[in-house]
Amino acid sequence: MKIIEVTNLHKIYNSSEVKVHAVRGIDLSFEQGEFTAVVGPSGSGKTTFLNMMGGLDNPTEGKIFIDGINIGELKSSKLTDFRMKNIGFVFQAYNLIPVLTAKENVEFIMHLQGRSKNERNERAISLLEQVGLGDRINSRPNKLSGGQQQRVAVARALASKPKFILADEPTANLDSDSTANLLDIMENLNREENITFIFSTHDARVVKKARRVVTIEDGKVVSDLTK
Amino acid sequence: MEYIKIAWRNIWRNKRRSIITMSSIFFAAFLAIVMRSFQLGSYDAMINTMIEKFSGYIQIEHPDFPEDKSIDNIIEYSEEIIQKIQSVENVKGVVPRLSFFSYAYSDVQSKGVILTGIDPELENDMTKFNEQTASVKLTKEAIKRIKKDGVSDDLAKALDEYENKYYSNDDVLAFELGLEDEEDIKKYLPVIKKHAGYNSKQLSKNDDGVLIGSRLANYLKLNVGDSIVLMGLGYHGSNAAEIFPIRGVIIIPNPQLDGMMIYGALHHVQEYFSAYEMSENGKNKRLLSSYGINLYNKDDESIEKTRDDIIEIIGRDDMLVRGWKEANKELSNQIKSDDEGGKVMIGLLYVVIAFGVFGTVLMMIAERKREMGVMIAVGMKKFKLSIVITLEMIFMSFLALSAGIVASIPIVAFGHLYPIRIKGEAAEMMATYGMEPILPFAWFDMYYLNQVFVVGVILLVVMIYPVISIMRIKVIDALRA
Repeated sequence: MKIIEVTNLHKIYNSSEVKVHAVRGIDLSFEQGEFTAVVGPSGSGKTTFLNMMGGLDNPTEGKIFIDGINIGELKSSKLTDFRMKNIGFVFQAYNLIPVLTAKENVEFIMHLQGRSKNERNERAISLLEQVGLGDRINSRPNKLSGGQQQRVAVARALASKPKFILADEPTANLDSDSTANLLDIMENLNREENITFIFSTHDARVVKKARRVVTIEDGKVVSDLTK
Repeated sequence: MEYIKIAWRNIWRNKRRSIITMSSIFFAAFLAIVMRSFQLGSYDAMINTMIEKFSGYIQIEHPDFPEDKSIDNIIEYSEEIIQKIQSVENVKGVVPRLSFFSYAYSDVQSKGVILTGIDPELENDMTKFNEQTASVKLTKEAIKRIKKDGVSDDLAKALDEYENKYYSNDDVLAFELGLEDEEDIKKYLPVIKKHAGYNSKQLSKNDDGVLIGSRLANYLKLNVGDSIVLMGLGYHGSNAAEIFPIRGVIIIPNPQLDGMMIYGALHHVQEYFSAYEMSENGKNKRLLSSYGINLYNKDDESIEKTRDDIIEIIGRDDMLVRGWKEANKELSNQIKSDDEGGKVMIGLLYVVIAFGVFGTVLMMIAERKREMGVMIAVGMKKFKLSIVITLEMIFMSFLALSAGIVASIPIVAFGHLYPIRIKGEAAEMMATYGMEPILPFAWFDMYYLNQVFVVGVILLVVMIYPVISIMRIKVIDALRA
């Protein structure tokens, strides 16, 4: 089942001196349950592409349909709601809320969704156990290692039961063990719960795990391989 | 609840900054309250001296009297009117007075004075007149006798400094002579009173004698038992002249009044000024310059309402009923202008604080832009994010304001119950402005609530910027911050 469809996507950054054409006419679609890596050298446009798919940035031209909805037509407030209900984010720098514990970080998005306290509590604990942090639920981010923080970020991304998760270079700041551990967790979630993951990365270990690899260079898709 | 939790924890993320911000609000609130309390306390003291103990909060006079303070513009004295006024709600007491200018002569000096006829009983009830009569006078001879009994060097020096001064209050006497220890007070006060005791008498209703202000007594070099000659203009051009025996000396807190006031029994002063006329029924109608009325509730609204009630109940077109602010415009304006100045000072204090708080907010927004971007990215509405930031500022302001209020309470309470008494040059300076040399604090009142209101307004103004900033955040820019 197709959950994301991108057509003729362009992004041009207009700075005061130069015009940067970061994404140049991408046409892609993603199916439910994919485990996809978007790869390419630095500055190739992969993060820009992911940001636009996540509704964080507006395309200069082109359309993005998620479950048949053209997100470019949504107003800011509706788009925020849409993101909350449909998209999970994992950022390179983890970006957890520093004043909340691991469990509270995971609960936070469910709170925004208006879920009951019991449901939030149970799901947050269950997700943290799934990512192997059942014993650190009350730790604040500054008491967790980078790998642990990123696992909390994955649990947070899953908390809202999104249609797919966008992960922008999720292993870039992690050591080998943490990377392997995180990839195993995400792969398991993908295989066992059919959760769709789309990563941007240039980490060979991530690419190795991915079942589909989309390569972007100079803002264009140069290859799209399914293993 | 989640937002409250986040807001509360955010405050303690950067403890030092939050504490500095809260300290600035704390000190602003604390200083504003203490300054305001002190300012309002000073006004209360001035009003107490000039209004409560002198003219009354409401005065009834002849309609022409405010423009032409002639002895011919006087009103009828009537027990019935007094009873009617006393029946009005909020009226604490009524004092009839006949008060006009005369010349006073002793065998060595003369001076222009105000002779005021009073009803001693009513006056004692209302203005505590009887508590002002002198019981101690530090004459040269008395000081010599006190020193002979043996006193400390400091006390001997203080006695010389206050030579010829009268006292009606032991606390003031002990303070001015520097007797601070209980032991010193117990040891020396009886000695001072033994040698410097002064036998002022109270006025009786039909007394033919007078009480004179302590500064006037010193100026005219008069004492209890001496006589004073008064001469002046009486009602409808009659001559007023009489010799009055001095029954006592009174200490009037206002130095100007203390140097010019003489009090006699009303009936006798009416005789002196020939302030009576034949009424329609052939009886002698006695006359007054004013009725002074004191009240329980003294706020502007109560005064106005009571004034209207009095106008209605006495039903006299030939009598003008006015509140003290109208009748004592000079004092009222003096307080008003000083009050405005004080408010400007406090306003400036708060402006400085507002900029401090604003600086904190700016830093907070700049520091947390990325985090805000993440919150919006994962689905938090900007409006709700504004609520979190606003809650942070409310918590900080509330904590600091509460601490400021709590810290000010003991100071204000102490300053109210035990006003600071000034002596020496500072006291003299205050005296030149007609003020009693004490620095009292006003009791807890609306001005406390006003600080909460002011901080609330500052908060509202300061919060405009972060709310606008948050509403303008572009998620992608914030995530890159």
